Amino acid sequence: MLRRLVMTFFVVVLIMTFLALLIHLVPGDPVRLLLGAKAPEQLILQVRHQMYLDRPVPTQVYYFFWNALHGNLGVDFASQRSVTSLIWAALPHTIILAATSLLLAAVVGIPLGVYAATHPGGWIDRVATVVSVSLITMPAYVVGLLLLLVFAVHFAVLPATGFGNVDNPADYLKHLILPAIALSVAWMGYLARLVRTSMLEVLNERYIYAARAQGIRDRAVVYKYALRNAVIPTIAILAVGLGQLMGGAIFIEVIFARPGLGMLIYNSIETRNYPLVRGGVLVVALLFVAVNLASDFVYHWIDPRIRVVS
Amino acid sequence: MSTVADIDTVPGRGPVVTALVQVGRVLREVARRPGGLFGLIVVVGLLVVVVAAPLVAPYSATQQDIANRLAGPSLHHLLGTDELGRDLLSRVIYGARIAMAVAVPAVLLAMAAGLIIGLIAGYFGGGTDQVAIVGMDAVQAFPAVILALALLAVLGPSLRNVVIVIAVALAPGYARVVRAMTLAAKQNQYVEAELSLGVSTTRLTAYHLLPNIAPPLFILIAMDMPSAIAIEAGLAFLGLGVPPPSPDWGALLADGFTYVLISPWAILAASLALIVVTVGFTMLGEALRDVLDPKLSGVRGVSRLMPRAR
Amino acid sequence: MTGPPVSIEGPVTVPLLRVEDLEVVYYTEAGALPALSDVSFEVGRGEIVGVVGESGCGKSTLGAALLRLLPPNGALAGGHVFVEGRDVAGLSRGELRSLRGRTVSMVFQDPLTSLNPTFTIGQQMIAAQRAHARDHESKSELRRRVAEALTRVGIPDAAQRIDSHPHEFSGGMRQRVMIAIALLHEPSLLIADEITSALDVTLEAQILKLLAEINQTHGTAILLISHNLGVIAEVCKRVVVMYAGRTVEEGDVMSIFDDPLHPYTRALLAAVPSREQRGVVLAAIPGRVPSLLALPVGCKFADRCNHARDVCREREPAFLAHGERRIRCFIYDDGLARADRPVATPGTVAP
Repeated sequence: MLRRLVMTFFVVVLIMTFLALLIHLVPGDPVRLLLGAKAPEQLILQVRHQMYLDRPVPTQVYYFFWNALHGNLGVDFASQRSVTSLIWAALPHTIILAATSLLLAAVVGIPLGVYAATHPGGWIDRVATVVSVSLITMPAYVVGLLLLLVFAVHFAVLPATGFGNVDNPADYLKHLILPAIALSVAWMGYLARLVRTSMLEVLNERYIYAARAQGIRDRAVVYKYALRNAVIPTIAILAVGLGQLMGGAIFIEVIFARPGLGMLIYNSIETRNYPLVRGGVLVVALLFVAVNLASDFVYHWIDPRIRVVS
Repeated sequence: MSTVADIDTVPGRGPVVTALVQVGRVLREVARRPGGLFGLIVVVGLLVVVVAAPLVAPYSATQQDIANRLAGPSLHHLLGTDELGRDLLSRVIYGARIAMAVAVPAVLLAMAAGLIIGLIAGYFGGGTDQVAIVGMDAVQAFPAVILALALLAVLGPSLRNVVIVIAVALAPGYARVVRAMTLAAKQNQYVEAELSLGVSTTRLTAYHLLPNIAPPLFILIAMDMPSAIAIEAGLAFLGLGVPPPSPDWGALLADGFTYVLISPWAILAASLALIVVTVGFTMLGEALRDVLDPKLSGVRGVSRLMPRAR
Repeated sequence: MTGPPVSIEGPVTVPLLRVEDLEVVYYTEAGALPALSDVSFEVGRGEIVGVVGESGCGKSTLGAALLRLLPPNGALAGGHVFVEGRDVAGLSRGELRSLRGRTVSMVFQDPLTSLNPTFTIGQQMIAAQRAHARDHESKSELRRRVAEALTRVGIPDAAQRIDSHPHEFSGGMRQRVMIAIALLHEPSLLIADEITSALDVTLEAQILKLLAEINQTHGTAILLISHNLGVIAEVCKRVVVMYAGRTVEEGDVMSIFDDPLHPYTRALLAAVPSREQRGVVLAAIPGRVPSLLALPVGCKFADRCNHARDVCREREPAFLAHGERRIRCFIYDDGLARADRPVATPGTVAP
């Protein structure tokens, strides 16, 4: 576990260094590109100073680390508001979207996988196998656009844009449905597949046979004994998935005009708002690293075999 | 039917022809599976369309039919027209060219980079390996799309940059597989014996390692093609892909999104193309995996058909 | 406690377990495999009966069939299993569940894989306890009973060890845990399927001693399945010899050891190794067990038997009473003209 922590530390350092230096990949002068050719020299100097671009490169990296550690990710050019506060405002909506999607995926995918594993070769199993491959490969934006087309435009039963009224839970939820489904569809298929495979493996284990021989109810054997062991290996993969989900969220937020982190990053790229791009991307990457680390801990906690080995 | 034996008698061309026969045998096996057959048909069909686009498409990608703007399917325009009256079927067909022009070089570039990094990390081990792992972890801490977006935000959108950016996101997958197989090969007694005999590393790589690495790499390529295509279209959808007026699938979706309230046909046409192609490549990859080595389903990274940020 | 061997649940003449012409088939891609066929024997109350045979002769399938725990591709194709006079094939789901673990318990070869690695011993034992709980007992009451059960099978510090996971136990201790679980509901019959095969000689002796004690103090009948005749001889009163999915000889352990009648039993006994040679059991019988996919028409042992006559290859002998025993061999088939019968010449069986 210690080794894992050390590796994670280096990964974070590398990520931050990369993001600190990212702006130097801009062909030409990033500030001039940002402000346009007609910007007054005074302003260019000011912005350059604001971004520490008038300092030596190692100092820039040092400042980025130092400030980030103090929760300061720079200032948005357009609004002159702090990047951190903008991200803080957008982040909850993205996290709610991602969490709802994963939850939806789990609620549909896990039972489907269990059913398929307990009835292998049945028609539901066979249909689910083909459908899940198609679902997994379908890009989130295609699903999002198709859902938008059918439910928001054609039937007009669900709202197409925004996240609704934050103070009205029913309204907020209504605006969450389509984006969450769009984002979760791939994960439903993926989870179903994952759970099916590991469940089939677990159901073949001797201890399942032994539990049946002890007269424990079939349902208890499948859902208590087998499911726990079958889900353990999926946890690590789900953690990786949460990171990927954040990538899909950018499309979903753009399509459904939800002002979340993805939307923020997208808008800041359009306006070449580099500090905001950098801050948003950093937060996404850090979230990914943190979730992965957390999943490792959960894994250790759930599976006592590993607990002893390490 | 000709066999490997009689082909081997052709002097000087033995290995190449044998390899071709092998490929033929694998493809025949792939085609015997329903999923594999579907994948092969899609991929071959896609290649035909890409090569023969001007012959297959009823119109050019840019020819406008002002009288029929945002029209539904008709005998003149089988999939309808876009906001400028351009034939959607033709745009989808020409769009396949862009998809392949980005996906093929991006995946090959990713493979080349992964091959080099993985060989170095696996062969030298120790500190070099650790550095490589931290690097791969850092790259994979970003959802593929976010990383691509961040890089494109500074590099600026162009065909070349889109290819590079996708290759960067996909490379760690190859590096991991190559590294794992290099490590395994090093423990192989054959290789140990040859190393002790002083056989050159280049020779070893060429004769022992590459033939072993090739099957998983082929599978990974088939699995990554849909990712590359989906990321490319996703970037284009966000306006950061290959610059217009290329009739790109993502751009088609973006146009359709703009006029979503008036006509669904652009979204439907581009979605259909994306779904068929991504599912086709994935099915081919899965069939390839089953045929080439059932044991590979356990190799991390190779079988991990998982939803990607797209 | 189950009480004295004489049951109040039925007439004394109804044996605890009665297997009659049992047939089990596995449906596989290669075809239907007749894993068991024409298997018949009985286990009385409080009796210890051994089942012996080479690996692949259907011993474990037998255990699974008795509790209707066959894999999905396996099916009871014929015959009957009566437990306390009731046909197992006719039981409802609920009745079947109360049969398993309460009337008949099972312990398996590898105790590590028989225990769920992610739950503590206590959790698993409480689940097994609750499977047949009459009323809702408090958690502490359940824990106390589980600890008691562990103490009874000789696990020291049971109360402390309840919260340990299976991997924290040694092999012998794990097998004791499995036995404790099997005894939770004081079953009438304990099926022990190769339970000592994964253990070393010392542990094996301890576990066998434990089985004998359980039989003595609780009157639990035991069906001891093993490939090892030594193990059977140590604790069993009667033994059933199986070959290629069939019962070939059944009788009192002592008399079978003194005077094996079926050529296969003889070969088996001749092949029992001395203590030092454990593990090479049965390697000395020439030829191989026939594949279930290509069983010979007549006697399944004919190809390895040096008494075999034409009749042995033409049809299969029946499982017939012969004095106190039952034997499946034409040598002892009085219905066959003496001239047609193969003759047993002692000492000519393959060494």
